[in-house]
Amino acid sequence: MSESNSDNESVIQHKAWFAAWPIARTAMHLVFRRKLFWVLFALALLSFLFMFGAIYLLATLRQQYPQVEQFITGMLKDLDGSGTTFLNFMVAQGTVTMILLAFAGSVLAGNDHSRGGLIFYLSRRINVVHYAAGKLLAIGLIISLTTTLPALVLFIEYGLLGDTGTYFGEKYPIFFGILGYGALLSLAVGLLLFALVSWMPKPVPLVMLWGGLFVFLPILSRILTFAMRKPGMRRRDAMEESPWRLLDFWNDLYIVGNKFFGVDKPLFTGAAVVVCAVCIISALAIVVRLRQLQHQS
Amino acid sequence: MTIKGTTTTAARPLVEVGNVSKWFGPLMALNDISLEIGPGITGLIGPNGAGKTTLLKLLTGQSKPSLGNVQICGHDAWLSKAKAHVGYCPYGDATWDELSGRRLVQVTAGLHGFTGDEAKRRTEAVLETVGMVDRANRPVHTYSKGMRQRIKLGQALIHDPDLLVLDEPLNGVDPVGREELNELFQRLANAGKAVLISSHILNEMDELANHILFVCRGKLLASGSLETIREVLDDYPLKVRVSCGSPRQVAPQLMALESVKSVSVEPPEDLFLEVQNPNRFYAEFGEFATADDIQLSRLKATDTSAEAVFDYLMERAARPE
Amino acid sequence: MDSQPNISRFAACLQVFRLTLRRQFFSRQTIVIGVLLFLALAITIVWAVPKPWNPEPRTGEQLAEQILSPLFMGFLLPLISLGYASSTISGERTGQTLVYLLSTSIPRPQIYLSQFSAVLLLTMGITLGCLGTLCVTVGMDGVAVLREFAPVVTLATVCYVALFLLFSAWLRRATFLALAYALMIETLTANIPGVVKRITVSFYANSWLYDDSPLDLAPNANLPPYEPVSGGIAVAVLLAASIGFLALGMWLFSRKEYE
Repeated sequence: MSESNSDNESVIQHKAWFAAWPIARTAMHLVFRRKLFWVLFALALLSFLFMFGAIYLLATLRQQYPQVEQFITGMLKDLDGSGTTFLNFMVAQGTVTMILLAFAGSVLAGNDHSRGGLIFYLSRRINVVHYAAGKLLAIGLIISLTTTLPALVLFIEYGLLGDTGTYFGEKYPIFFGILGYGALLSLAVGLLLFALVSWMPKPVPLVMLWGGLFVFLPILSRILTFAMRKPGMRRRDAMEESPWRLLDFWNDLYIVGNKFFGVDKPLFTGAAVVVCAVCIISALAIVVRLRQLQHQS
Repeated sequence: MTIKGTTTTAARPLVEVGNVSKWFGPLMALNDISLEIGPGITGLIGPNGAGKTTLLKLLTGQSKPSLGNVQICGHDAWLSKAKAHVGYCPYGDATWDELSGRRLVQVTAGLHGFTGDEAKRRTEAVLETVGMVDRANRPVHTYSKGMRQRIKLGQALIHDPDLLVLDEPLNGVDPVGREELNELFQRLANAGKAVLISSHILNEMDELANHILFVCRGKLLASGSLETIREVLDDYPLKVRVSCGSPRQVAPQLMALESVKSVSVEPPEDLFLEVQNPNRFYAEFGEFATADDIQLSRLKATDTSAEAVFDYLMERAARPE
Repeated sequence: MDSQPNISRFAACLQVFRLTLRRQFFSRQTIVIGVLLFLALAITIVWAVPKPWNPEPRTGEQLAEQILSPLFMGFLLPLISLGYASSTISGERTGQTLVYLLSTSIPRPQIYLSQFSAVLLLTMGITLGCLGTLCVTVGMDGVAVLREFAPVVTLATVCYVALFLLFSAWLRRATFLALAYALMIETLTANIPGVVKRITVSFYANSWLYDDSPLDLAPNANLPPYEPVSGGIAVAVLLAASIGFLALGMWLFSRKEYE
């Protein structure tokens, strides 16, 4: 009898993980029905459309004026179809993704915490971990919408508009690089956002703190990099090698993300440590806060 | 069809609502409503979503009618001149929670332009009136729902308005508190103020209001004194459950009563009656129960909720005249 | 209670002013701003301290170029303004307390003006205080920089507050639009050639700074073309925009029906 009960418990626990998808779906629905989301998303797609057009233009030039195409790709390394092209595109989406996430975080998790919506979820057969998994999934998918998905579309476009077989045959690791970097962004930024939203659900302080992390700290990091630069060290080298650059979390993700495209960057170990530390601290902060809210309700 | 009673007073009414309609996009929240409110307690009754809060927002100048006009003491309700005559106690619990109760009322006094000693005097008077003097120094976020209602009522009274608009003021208040607040409303009404109280609970207004406004699905279904409304309700078909030892024997005898339209037996001991005129039915049933040697264990009306009454009124309103 | 109250419209507006000032100052955004300002000051001190490999003290021009332009003008000033201004009306709206202000007999434009004054005073106090503190880190040179920056920061603050308060009167989630404006429009358009950049507050603030300044603040000729307008035009545009945003906000607030 007790064995059968324990089996049932295990089945229920197993099924509870499937609740993550409806939670994520509902959360995304909440975000998608706001007009402001679509305004911000349209802003996020601007650079995608620019890149899409540029790749098309280059493909046309390659056929009609190969020298001009070589000249342009020589000047603009970002458009040569290598892993860097797509990595840099995903990095360039940082500001708008950050704004979009501040909004999405406030809608899809902040309201639960500030208005007592958490109890609605926890009254089902799920616990805080399943709830957090659902919300993280939603945040991850929204990040993918502005970074991973457009980068994949650009990669496919690049292949289809050129020597398709050769390009995909040689450059297929880029596909996995994009997926890997996208997953890293979704996980690390998702955890950080969810942790901040859990502790600071009101939109204004959340926005300011989020802006502080992704705009203020990079500025500080640059100021410190140049201020502490040894005599004779070039600015470009300082920007690559100074440990003060680790204050810029988006740059840390970029450094770690390069590994997915087979590029080794200076400061990799430091950046990896920062990213792991942020993920672990964020996860702990989420669990502590959710348990606290659970007890309060 | 709107059932009209005797809401209008001899003097010019404080509130005049003329052919007001209000849309929110495709949704028609209020449909061609006209009414007048004078001194005394007026109950605004309707089920959830009937348009009560929309009407109150129009009266307090929070929103503008799509069609028609709303006048408070002769001024357009949207204008600040009208708002000087209105005290509003909104539905939600939200207030400036970080302030103490006393400070909140004093701030409201300031917002109405009272300063220094006058503001303090009014604050203390209002706190006394709503029975919050001894608890006024606590921050509002520590208050219970009932205490919040009292403080909200206090801020609405601070400038001694001619019209007091209260959106479900008894919500969350304990029975003793209800009694006290009802007495307060009565005192204000006796002092010549117009007190408009919205509620979705019919019985709540039964004892309190001199005038009733029935609103349902954006329409004013009935307005007037309680007597007028009761007359209307006499036609209202009521469903009644009677429990007795031998329902099959009692059923034909009950069917013989003039007010009973139909009887159905629910074994083992229940009878369900549909009666046409509740007042007459209760009189006939009283005689029936005492005259014959019948053992009745229970009599209960099953659909006296406000919603059921409103449904009936709505259906009645839809009938051709 | 008296039926003939002796009420003062000015006192009522003053109460709105005090209430707004109090609610905005004792808020979480003040804590976040405090943390950011502390970090900014700490970094500026680290930056200003002479290093063994660079014993020369920092100059005012370096302060303006390396700290004030990117950190203060580019981030802190718009962020502090949006933190207070964008949450003023939209915060009361989402907290469902706006009804208490709107049901008083104060005309709506006067409520708006009182709130604007309160937010402006608070934002101005913090931004000018922060600017002064950052400037004194480099000693007397910093005082000259402060003299250059203070009027620009004052007018830019007025303009930002008027703009973000307009957002707040217009939208429930004004903060996000303000953030998108401050971090995307202001930053991205600054690097676009042509006249597009002229829609931003920072363009006119920088133009005023570059014009006729005893400090060499104009950006490097190798950087994207900035093409500033003259100081007079910049001041005129900032003033006109501030008045325009304020008037538009008052008009919108006086007509809008808030749920």
